[in-house]
Amino acid sequence: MFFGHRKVFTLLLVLLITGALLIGGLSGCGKKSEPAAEGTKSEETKSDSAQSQEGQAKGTFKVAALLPGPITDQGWNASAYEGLKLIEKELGAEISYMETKTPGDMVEGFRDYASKGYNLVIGHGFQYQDAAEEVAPQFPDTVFVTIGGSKTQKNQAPVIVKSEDASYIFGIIAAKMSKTGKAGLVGGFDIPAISKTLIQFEAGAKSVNPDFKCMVTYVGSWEDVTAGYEAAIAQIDQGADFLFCNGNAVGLGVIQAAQERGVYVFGMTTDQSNLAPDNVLASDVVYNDKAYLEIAKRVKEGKFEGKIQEVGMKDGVVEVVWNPKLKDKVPKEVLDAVSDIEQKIKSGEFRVPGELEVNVKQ
Amino acid sequence: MMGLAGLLGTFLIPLFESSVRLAVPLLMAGLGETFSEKSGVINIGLEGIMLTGAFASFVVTYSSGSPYYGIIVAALMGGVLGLVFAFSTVSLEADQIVAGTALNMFAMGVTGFLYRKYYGLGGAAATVNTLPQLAIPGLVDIPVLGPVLFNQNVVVYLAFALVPVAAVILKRSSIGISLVATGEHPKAADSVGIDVFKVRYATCVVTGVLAGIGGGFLSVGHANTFFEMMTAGRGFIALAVVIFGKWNPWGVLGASLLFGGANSFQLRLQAMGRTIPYHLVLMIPYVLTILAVAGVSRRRVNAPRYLGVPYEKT
Amino acid sequence: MGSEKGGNRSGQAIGQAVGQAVGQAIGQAIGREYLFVQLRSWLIIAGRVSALPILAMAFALTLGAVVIYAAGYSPSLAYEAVWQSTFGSKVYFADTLVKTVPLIFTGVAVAIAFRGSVFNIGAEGQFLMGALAASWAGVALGGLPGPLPLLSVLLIGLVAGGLFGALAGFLKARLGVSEVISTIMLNYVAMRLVGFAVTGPLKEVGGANPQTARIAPNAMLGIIVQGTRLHWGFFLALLVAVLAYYLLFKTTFGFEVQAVGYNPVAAGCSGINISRNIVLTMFLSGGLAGLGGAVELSGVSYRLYEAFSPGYGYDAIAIALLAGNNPVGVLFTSFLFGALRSGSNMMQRSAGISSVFVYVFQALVVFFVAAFAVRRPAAMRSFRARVYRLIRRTVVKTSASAVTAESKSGNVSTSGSSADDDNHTGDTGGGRPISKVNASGSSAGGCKR
Repeated sequence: MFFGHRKVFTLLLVLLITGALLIGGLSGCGKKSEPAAEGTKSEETKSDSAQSQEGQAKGTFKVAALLPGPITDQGWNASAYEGLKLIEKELGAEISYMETKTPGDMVEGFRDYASKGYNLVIGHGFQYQDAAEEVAPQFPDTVFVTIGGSKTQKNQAPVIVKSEDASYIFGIIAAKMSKTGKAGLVGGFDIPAISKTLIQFEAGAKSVNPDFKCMVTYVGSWEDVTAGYEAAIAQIDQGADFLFCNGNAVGLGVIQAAQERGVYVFGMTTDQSNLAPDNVLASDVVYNDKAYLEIAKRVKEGKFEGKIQEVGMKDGVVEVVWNPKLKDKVPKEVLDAVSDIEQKIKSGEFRVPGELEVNVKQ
Repeated sequence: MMGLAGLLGTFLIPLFESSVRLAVPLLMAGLGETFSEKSGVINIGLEGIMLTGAFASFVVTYSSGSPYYGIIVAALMGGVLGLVFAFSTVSLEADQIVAGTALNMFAMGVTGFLYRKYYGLGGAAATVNTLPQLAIPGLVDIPVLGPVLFNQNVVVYLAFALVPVAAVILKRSSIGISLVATGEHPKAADSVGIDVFKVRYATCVVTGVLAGIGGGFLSVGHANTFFEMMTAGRGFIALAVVIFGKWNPWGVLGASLLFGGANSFQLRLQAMGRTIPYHLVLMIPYVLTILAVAGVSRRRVNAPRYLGVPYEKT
Repeated sequence: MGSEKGGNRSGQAIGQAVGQAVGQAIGQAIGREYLFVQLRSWLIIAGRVSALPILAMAFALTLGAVVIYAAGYSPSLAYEAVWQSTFGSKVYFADTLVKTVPLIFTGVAVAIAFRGSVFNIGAEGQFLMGALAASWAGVALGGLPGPLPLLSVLLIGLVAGGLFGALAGFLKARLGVSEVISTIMLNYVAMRLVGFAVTGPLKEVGGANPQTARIAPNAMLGIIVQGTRLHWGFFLALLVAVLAYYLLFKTTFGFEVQAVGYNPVAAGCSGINISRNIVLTMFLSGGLAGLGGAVELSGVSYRLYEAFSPGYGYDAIAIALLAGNNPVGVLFTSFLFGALRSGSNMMQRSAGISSVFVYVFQALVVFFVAAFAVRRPAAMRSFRARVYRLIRRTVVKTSASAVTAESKSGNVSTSGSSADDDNHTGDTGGGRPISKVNASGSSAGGCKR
């Protein structure tokens, strides 16, 4: 039989190779339209491996991150990767990252990086705090930082990024501009980093109009783009004319739905206005890279302190970035209100409640 | 009366519309799987094939600008994977479940790697044009159902048109008879001159093509981008849909609509207000499927008898 | 017989020849005849058993190297990473074993179900339910004295997973719901239940994050080697694998499980209660997966959160089938998968190789092993002979009623075509189940009437 199917086998091989070449070639072509982007991207991948091979040189400042997902997720983990790249560029540090999949991976990652002499290891999520707590005493020369969480030691501390500062302002914008008095909020999972932005969106809206209604949908996925799309469509069908999503790739589906149905949507993490120039009104841009760089600088200068650190709009890490194309259409009254509250948050006169204040189970 | 009309307009019709969208990938993959299971090959690599289809159509659409090319290439890539699967399970007689699992892992790894390498990093996500909606003149004006059923993109029409076609092929054509014979008793089929290998190769390729198109629909028909693992378990749901539909194309249609409907209902329920914790609402489609299957399983339809068993010529 | 069968045989012949040669060499070197004979026979067996898997691994590794090279990385660096992360140091080796433990539990669970031809794809859900129940027990019963919290955590995890598995078994036995559907759906249900529990009822009091409270120290599995993460769950896993082997191959219950899996009609006729057997098989299978969840919780994470399992239950399917559904074989295939996972982590850290690569590797290994090495395990052959004896003994007695019942239920007789079955079903460990078991309920019921 095997030999009888030799023809099939040959055909198969030919097809496979053709297919692979086709996809590979097209992948390449696709990027050729943006030559600059391609250049930097392939460089990035190469420099990762090159770096770690050469990085045995002593005295280099070394920073690593443990991530719960892929660095291409258009959100949470992508921002961590941006942070690493900025540290590499600004401080000449050697960088590395690892995706963790199991509880055991977290300790393994922290310990292995620390034992290889990394000065700073960042666990990009609240779930890393147990592992950091366990490993930190064994490696006093390494600083362990978790993004989110509440545990501190001499060389361990959480950094909390107040992305809700901007979503609170989105709530105000939506409540002032909405014709239906309803907004649709979509989240990936109900974890503090997500839920706090949705909760504060609602709080912001209610501060303007106590009767404003926010529909909240969690799709239970970070990847299912179409679920985000359908969730948003369901909310639009029920009257929402403003949308906001915090859930990595799920947000892409929400923006697509807004574009199709012609409603306004707020972007998350990066400036997403080019995805739907007529619909993305503003984005909650989180400069995680700045936060990362700030921590790394402190560690490098030996100024790190083991206490909870909050960074937000006040520190320039979170910002409301308007879509330049749509900003003219926003009534002046709304713009004034927004810059007013922005000023108050920056000066410390007003504080948007953080994740440790709204999520705690009593 | 007004109440009913209002309910129709604001709830039921949108619900049906989104159910159809959510059902199409399941329907495509399910129809394909019906063919291969009828001929005795169980392919649990559907998830991987769909993922590959989604990625291939995204890549092609991104570089060519036309989602139609994307769907065609998705079908081709699906067919190639189907051929690989047939080669390993029919010719090499590898265990079908193991080969399917390998296919899933392979697709996950390769699409993830290529996406990361070429598209994923930096700035905003890469988006593509989606398949345009083609209104069928005349039919689209039918009140209520017209806009839902006759203002869709080409893959939706294809999926629904394939249901009767598949039913006729399986039940009333000589191809269908040899196909079913291959699954029910390959030795007997062989003895009357049916080439068991050829039949199984053919059904595996058909499965691959249809599942590939189903995947392509996800990235260029439903959404407008690709993301790692964006199939989110649909390949496995499609397997369940085939069994729930009792290896009958009409049953597969019903089962995928039920699942799509339950999913869409769950999202709408959440949008109405948060009284039930969302995790429990997310469970609805799955629990409903179990209940529905339990309800209709009394009248048993057996799986093809030689499902999953490699044929060995003596 | 196709010529790839010939290839199969030649592979075994190579193994045999190598075994013979090595045995001879060692025997001569030592200079003792009896030792030579003994060694030769062992090595011949070892050679026959391992030649094809090793060949398959070699294929997979070669092709893997090509893929890595094509992707622009250095294959030698990648493989060095895999080796380093597995055998490089005590700590790394322990980490790899820690990763292997949950895979052993779920792998054995799946293997048992497949032996009984119950197609349990639900190990993932059962694993999660075990962990969920264990996380409750670890906190709520943490105040009990002595080792009781630990015991209750493990026991409750086992029971919870078992009941979740038995639910699918019950749906199949009583309502005719295919276990493929029910276990796929129940996986999602379990995933969402965990999400619900950690954001709602079991959320840590005073905590902001969706996770349960840490379990009591008394409920944690101890560390075996200080300075590593290797916990006593590892020995529990070894024990479970050996016990499962004993249960399947040396006890009446195991024989019944396999008899139902192999030929439900004959088994039903010989008086085995098929429904009860299916539910029990699923309870046992789910219980082991649940125990795996409890062990992972009380040995590694100490608390539960949403992304608790990276898909152990799905990996388990490949692991069990690669091991020919043999619980002892699962130990080795799980270790292989554990090593690949460790290797993937190391590759990311030291060579910057993308984490998705591990899937490509796993796929290649699984594919080649499946295509070249999973063949007619000897255990299945002797087992088949036993079933035939059973059929001959019992079918004769009940032949009249059985035949009419079978023809009524529309099944062409399975027991009658035993020679035919020999040809078709011999090669698959897990391919058979669906067709046979779906036919089971009705025709077996017919026998009893």
